[in-house]
Amino acid sequence: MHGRLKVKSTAEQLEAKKKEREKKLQLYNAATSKIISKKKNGELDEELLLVSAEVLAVNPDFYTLWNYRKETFLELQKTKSKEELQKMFLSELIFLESCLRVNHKSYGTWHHRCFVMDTMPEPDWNRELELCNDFLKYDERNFHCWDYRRFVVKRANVPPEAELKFSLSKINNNFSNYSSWHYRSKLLPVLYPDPKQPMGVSEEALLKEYELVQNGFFTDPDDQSNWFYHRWLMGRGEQVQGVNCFIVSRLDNSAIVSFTKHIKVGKATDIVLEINNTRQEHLTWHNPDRSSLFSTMWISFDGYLIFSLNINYITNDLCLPKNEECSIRATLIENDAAICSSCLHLDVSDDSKSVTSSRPSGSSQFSQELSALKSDVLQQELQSILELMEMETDNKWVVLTVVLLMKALDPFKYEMEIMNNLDRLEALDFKRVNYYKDLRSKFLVENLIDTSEGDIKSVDLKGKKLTKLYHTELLPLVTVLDLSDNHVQEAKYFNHLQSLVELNLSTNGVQNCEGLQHLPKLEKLLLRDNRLSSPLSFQPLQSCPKLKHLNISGNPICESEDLIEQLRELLTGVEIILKSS
Amino acid sequence: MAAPIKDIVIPDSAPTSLMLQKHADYIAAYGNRKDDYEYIMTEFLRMNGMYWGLTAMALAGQLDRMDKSEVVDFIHKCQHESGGFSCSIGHDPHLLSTLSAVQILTLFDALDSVDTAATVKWVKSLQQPDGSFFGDRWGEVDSRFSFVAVACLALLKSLDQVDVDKAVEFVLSCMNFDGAFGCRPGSESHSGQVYCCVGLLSITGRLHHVNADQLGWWLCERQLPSGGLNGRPEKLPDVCYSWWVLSSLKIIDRLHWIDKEKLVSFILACQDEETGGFADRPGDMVDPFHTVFGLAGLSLLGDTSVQPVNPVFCMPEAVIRKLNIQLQYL
Repeated sequence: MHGRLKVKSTAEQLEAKKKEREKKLQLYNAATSKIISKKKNGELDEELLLVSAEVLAVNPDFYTLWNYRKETFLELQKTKSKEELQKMFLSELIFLESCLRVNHKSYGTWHHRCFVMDTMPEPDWNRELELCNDFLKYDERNFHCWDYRRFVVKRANVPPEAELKFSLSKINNNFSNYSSWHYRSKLLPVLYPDPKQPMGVSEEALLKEYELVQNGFFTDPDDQSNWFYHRWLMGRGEQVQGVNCFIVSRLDNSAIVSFTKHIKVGKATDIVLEINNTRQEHLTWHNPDRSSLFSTMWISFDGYLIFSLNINYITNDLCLPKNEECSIRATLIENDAAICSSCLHLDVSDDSKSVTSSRPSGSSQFSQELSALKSDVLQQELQSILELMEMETDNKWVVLTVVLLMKALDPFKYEMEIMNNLDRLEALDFKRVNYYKDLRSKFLVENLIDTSEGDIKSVDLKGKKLTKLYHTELLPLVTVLDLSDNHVQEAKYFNHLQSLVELNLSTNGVQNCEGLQHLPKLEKLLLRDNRLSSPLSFQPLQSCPKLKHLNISGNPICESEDLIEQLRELLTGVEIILKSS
Repeated sequence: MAAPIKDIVIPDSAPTSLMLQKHADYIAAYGNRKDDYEYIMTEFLRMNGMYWGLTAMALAGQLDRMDKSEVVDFIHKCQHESGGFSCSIGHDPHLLSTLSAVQILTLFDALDSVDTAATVKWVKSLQQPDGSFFGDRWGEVDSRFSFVAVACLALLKSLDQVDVDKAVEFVLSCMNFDGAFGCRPGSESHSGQVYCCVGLLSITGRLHHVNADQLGWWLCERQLPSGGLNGRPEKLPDVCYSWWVLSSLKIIDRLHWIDKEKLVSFILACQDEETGGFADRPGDMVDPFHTVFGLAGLSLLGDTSVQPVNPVFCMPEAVIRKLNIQLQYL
């Protein structure tokens, strides 16, 4: 019941309407009972087709009746000649078309048309393509019809070239046609495949698309279809699986492997650890949450207890040789095939060691993936959009695209401009202010990771207006993290920071400690001036074995001695500071 | 030539506060109009309609006003030998009505009044080699049906009965250039479909396949100047999308990317002060469908006079929690 305006009517009008409806209902009810009784008696005949057509004409979503018609046709197929059947199905198509003219959004009607076309002796697919053209002229966004078109195209083997041409004609008719842009995104990888390109589309074809979509947003810079498509063209390809970071520690007998993509160690997936080429048997791996979910980070250490039905437990057997040098290799195995691996060498004196996948110096690991295109093409693209920005100073789509292009081209050179433009976006598009804030937070961390040389051990992000800490999975070696004086509201995914010893989250908007659980090395946690109000919100900290020092001064919870007492009971052995020092 | 943004203007006279009691009264009375034209013409939706109405009552905290035994008896009569449920007595079974039936029985804690083993078997029989699900024996495929099947089995604690990996694979093949999802591989993105696919990935613990920033951006761009949300680019706002878009944003932890206050005003403006109930847009006719999604949307937006709603199942959070169903949220 969409888009039906409520109209105030006079008593007279209401009475007339009521009478009319009563009459309609009488006919409707009589027809429906007749159909159901005929079906019950197994009378799947032409009369059933006739009566059910009357009902479906006014109520095409009555799905059961379409089913009855299908059953009837399958029954009649057994006795009728091919010519008779063809004639019947042709008239069914005419009936369906008349239904679609009244309601072109009924799932049941469109599906029934598929059934008829697949069942009739001589389907005329060209006629169906014409019908789609016709309906898409009337409503170019009707997704039912677009889907039916794809069905027809598949059955009739219409070449994708022809369909790409069709989508172009729709776009030339009206750039604001999201359905057509969508269709192009599906056709291009089929027509111009290039497995080496991140999106699987050849560069030449992508360049043409850039041109086309530019025409679109120069014509109507406020139309979002063009911009969504443009962002796709700038988009990154899928990452390949690899090891981001591999850490071993003799002190805790632990190994941590961080991958680029999510995995779940289980029946078909395993991480094999070899010490001096000898495979370690019976290792157990868990993710930072110790949940059954997929994760990019997997951890194995000695002494990890696995409870099975809360009765039995087994311990993990990881044991790194003491006082001798050794080489250790971690390999990801999926369905018996090695996917990727990482290797490191422990000297006699090494307590722990890590290896982080190298990236070319002076470039960004994030912007490289951002675009499929060469930088000179992106540079030209930036130039033309900057020109557009001169005319369209307050257009958020233009400003956002400038930001994304600059990020893809050179996030360091353009850092100031990117940040300034993000500030402008917050003002221009207030409804999505938090989207831009998060985007800014993401860019800041990406730049930090890109500009750091070697392993990142200490991170100072104090007072950066951060709303969120992105990419914690890329920071497994950080020991000291200062995030004080930001706008962070939660610590989700902080438990990827497996080396973290000291965390300063003071003066933020943190309401609970979710995400801090199972941090094996966390000793000091500063949470001054946040929004923590209940002992329960500290529960995750119970699983941090080394936590000694917790500062919560200036939080609402400090106002109640009872609550503080409960908190002390919850976190025995932790020094809890209530006053700022 | 610039196309004007499709949107509405909220009239000054539109309601600005929640009339919860009126909505509960509207729903409670809805089932009493069995000779009504509207009621008869929507019989093919009865089971879904009952789920919408009963969930609305539960969210209003007034489920006890409804006649449980009458409802359970009706559902019982809608179960077919195959195990599936139809929308009304004598109609054909379909996955859409089957989930509604299972949801209602869960709400009433009355699953033992039907043959759930048969239901599980029937749902399982509808899975195809590519992982997709037929809606019924006539073979329509839609990512909605994938969600419905998986949600139904999760409520019946029988998710292990189908090939979950394949089901996930199919849903992922419906993902598009904008990070959102369509009905079938190749179909255009649509917020209703996004809700279904993201919901399925939450139930199966596979949300890592979603590019949350990309999808979140597409979803938050559904908000129009009026504050309402549309289902696809260049479409009008509609209260039901306060549910499809909002619950998806909630599951992928991007709910803060829209202007909550403006959306609340839009939803409230869709109430009918005279009759109770919500319409799709201010000034239109109300119905139970928009009423439940209006209330559920307000619940997600933090209105504490409405019971907390579960974003995956669109049922009271307390009911889902009691069942101890594991759901993933980013």
